[in-house]
Amino acid sequence: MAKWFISFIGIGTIVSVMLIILVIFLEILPLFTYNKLVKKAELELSEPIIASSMGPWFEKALTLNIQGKVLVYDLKSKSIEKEISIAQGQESIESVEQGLDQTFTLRWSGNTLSRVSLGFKPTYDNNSARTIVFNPKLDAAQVQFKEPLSFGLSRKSADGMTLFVGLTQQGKVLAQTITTTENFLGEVEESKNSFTLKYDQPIAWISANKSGNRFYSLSKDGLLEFWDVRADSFHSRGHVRLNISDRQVIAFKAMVGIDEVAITYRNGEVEVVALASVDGDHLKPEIIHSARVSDLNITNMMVSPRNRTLFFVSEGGALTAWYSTNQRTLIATKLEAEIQNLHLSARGHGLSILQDNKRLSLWHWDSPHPEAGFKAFFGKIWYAGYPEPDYSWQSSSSSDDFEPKISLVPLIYGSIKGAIYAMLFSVPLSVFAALYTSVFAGTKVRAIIKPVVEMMSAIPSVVVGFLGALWLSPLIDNHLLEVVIALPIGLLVLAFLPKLMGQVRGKDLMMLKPGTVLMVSGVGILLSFLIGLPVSRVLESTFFNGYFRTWLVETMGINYEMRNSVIIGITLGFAVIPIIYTISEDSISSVPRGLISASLALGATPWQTAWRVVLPAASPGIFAAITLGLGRAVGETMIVLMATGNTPIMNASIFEGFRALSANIAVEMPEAPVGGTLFRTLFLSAGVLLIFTSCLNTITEMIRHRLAKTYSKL
Amino acid sequence: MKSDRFFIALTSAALAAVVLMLITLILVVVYNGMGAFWAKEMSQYRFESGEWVMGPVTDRAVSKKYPGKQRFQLKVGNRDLYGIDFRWVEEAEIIEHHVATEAWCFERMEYGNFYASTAEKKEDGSWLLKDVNGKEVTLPENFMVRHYQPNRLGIFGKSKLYLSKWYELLSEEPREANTEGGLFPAIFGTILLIFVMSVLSFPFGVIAAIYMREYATNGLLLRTVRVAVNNLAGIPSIVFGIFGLGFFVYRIGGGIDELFFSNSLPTPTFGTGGLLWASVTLGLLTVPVVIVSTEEALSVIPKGIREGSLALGASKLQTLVKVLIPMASPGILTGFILAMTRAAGEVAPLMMTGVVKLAPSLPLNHEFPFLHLDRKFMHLGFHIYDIGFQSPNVEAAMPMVFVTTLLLLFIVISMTSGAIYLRNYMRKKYTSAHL
Repeated sequence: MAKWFISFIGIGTIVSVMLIILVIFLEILPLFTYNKLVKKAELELSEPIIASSMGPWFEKALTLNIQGKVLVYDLKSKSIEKEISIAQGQESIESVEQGLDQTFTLRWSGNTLSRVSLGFKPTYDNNSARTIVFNPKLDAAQVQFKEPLSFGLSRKSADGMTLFVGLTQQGKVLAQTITTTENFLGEVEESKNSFTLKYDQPIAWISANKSGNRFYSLSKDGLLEFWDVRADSFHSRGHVRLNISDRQVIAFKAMVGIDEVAITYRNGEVEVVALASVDGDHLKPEIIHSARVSDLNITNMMVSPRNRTLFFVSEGGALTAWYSTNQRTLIATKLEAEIQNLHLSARGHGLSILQDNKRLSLWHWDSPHPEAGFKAFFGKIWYAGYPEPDYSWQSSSSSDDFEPKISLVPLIYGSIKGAIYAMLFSVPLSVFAALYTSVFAGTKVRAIIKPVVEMMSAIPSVVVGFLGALWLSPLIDNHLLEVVIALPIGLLVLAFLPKLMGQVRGKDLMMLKPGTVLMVSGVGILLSFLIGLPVSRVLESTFFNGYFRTWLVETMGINYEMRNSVIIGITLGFAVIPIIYTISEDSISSVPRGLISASLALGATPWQTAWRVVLPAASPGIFAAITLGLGRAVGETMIVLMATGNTPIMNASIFEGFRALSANIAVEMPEAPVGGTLFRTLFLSAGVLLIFTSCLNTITEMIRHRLAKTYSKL
Repeated sequence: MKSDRFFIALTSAALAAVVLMLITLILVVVYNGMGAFWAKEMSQYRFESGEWVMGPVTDRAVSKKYPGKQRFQLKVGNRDLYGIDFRWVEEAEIIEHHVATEAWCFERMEYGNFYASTAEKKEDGSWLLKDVNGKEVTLPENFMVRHYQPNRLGIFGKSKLYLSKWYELLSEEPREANTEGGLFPAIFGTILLIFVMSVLSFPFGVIAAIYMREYATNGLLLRTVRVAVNNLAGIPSIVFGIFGLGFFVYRIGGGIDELFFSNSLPTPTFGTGGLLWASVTLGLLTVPVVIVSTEEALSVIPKGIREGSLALGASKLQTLVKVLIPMASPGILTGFILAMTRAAGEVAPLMMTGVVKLAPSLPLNHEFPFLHLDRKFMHLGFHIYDIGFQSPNVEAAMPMVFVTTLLLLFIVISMTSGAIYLRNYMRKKYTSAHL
């Protein structure tokens, strides 16, 4: 009975490890796989429509027909709840443009453009029961253009300027702005401006961004131009030429973000143009994404009002959702019939799809992590506003139009950089120290050193990190030159040490007690720092104008950060030394005595034996020690958190900082919304850490296992 | 060979360097930590402009403005008058200097220390203080923590002050955003964490080790368990933290909230970090330590003992409980102590599962249910990180950080020494033939 209980607990260890792996995996999975399109309702329409939309929580929907009649449907009862007309004396609607929110620009048959917002809002009664209410807003302003139009759009900016733009059938762009200002007396003043865009080529497509301060034009020969919208003119910000010689453009729409435009071609390709590459002192438009999203001909494209998702409708009822930044196809599905029309609800969660010209189906688009994906985490991405594709980690910023950059590559680079510098510092120290303890030191020294090193391993990493960052870092900062020359001076001192000891004590180094040698070495090290101080002062004032640090920056052009990799190397190294030392020492001591005796018998000196026989024989164990130390260095959090500048840059310079995977989790987790992309990405980085340390652990175990076998044979 | 000597000296230097690093670390912490509360002599300086500054000297450096001269940092206090606590003063700019024998140091509940040239106690108990430039400040009685004249204190006086500050540290709550006052809640939180963690992880670890050593048959299962324990030991602490957050706090905690505390929702009770989840997470982290120590302790016991006990008619369970565990207890205890040491020192997993900068109440008090496992708590290790890196005034906080570090280091080193001593004792006991 007790046996079962005890066995159960014992197996619990396996369960714990499996659980950790499982939990992390489950949190990561939605990043890569969760994209759902679910049909919520279907309506049979009695007449053709030109636009449709859906309210929040999938309770209400609306349709707009050519005469300007809006029908509001209640989706639960599938009945028409309300009917209103938004025509203000016009005849029929010829085209509709949706401006990345619930506002539609209607182009009427008399070359008039008008704006209407067809939105819904929730209301709550006394029992907190919710009703969705249709909340239309008809804009009084209407503009009639003198020439026949083929397309029209309008935008209203936050500072009160309404922009109406009409594209004539000849390819001319006519614009009118209405600026309303309120003066200090509270009177509203309206000023109108009409102007024509001066362009030598006929324009085929126009679009504008959500806030209405940017305008985009695509000429018939493929020149895409970006414009700044002013009250009385458009001011060019640059252009890029698209290759449309053998491709037909079927959609041209601005996306969310300040300056990103999507161009869809009939052959199934899409391009995204944004202000990206640097041209002198400003950015110019560049094609930042180019991909084939469908093998069929594309008939329509809609832009999500919420993020950079693009929806493509292809022949045969095929529907593809594609995220532009990481060029990731979120879903590619086929509906039963050809899709005439596709509209998105205000929050980007709802799709209203018209098929067979009379069947309107309403869908829930659930895609919480479109910006994730293998390419986003491990590949180079060309973000809008950046000069080229790059690895970048920047999870938040103060602007609203910000796109989180979630590449793990700078963090992995940081972890590895920190670990390497820590290894560079600690491996020579620990292995040589272990060599001395095992081979040259006596049992008395060993008996004292072992607990001392164990004490070192017990010191919490918070303490090590704190001292490194707040005590060592300013110290090295103030005495940089001395630290740099301490090593050469130290080696010089060591070279003279044996001679000195021989002369003072009258004995040869080898005849002295190991404890004495140790103490003398210690004194030697202290001495080299003491000598170093005045020497560095002299050097500093003669060669470096009194300040080594400024000399580094000004003359050598090296950027010196106070929290840099040298500090990390020393601090993280300090934490790792006990591990490497202990295991190396164990393995060096396990080298069979016979081997050592044989070497000495053949005439080798003690050092030759140590260096050429013992060390190679112990090398698998030492390698295991280094691997284990590496695992600890990569996984260490507090020290890298405190002693680096936590800047997620990829720079190999020893004088620059970095951000490690582990520190990143500690820093970002408290601010990450639960279940959001950043939250799951942090789990992914924990998963990467886990895989890395598990691999290192397994390698160590395999080496140890083989070692045990080798030595049992000897 | 001549170069031999050099290389041997090099290796000894490597070992000496390692030991020196450790000694330096301990010395720096001890020197700064012990020295933090020793009252410093106050000096008074006048500039050409007629302005005076007064306070203890806290740092010295080479002057950049006047080559060849010194500059030093003075703690001028009086933050409510001047807005800054510390000020760098150039030696070359000083006209007059005396030791301010009559100067007072008033430690306050707000705005830090006040260094006064004169101090008068009024009838209502409050103090009228004048600083070195003549500016006046009134200090109500209940805002004063202590007052003394540092330059007038002899060794005896300074020692009394020193001890009283240490007593305050260990028994009072922190103030001024953790940069002054005491560590009592942090110490209490750390001890409570260790206690709750032990209750959860020690039985698990000891029984698992018993399984591995006494009950498991040498086969795939045992090898898998060993692999699992090794992997558990190698997982970085932050991964434990994130697992604790994702699994214990949000999933299990969320579930508990839905079942038992749904009337408080959306305010979480167990669905957020707290003492329980932090202890469980740390417990999982330290289980391998306990397992390894217990296993080692059991493996050193000679086989003959087990066989003798079974031969005498005891069952396996009786042998285990009455013979083996008592004999292995020093080793098991070593494991306990090492695990507790880790609990005191690990910060990363705690940051995500329930440790806070300032807890409004202790997790153990006289209200039912007395032990509040859902409360957030303070921790010494996190306190060091918080004061050193998250406080608004790191310079003023430095003495406090060193003192906290000293305390933590003291706890960790004494526990580790105890563990090492126990382990040596146990080894000696069993490598000799006696029982």
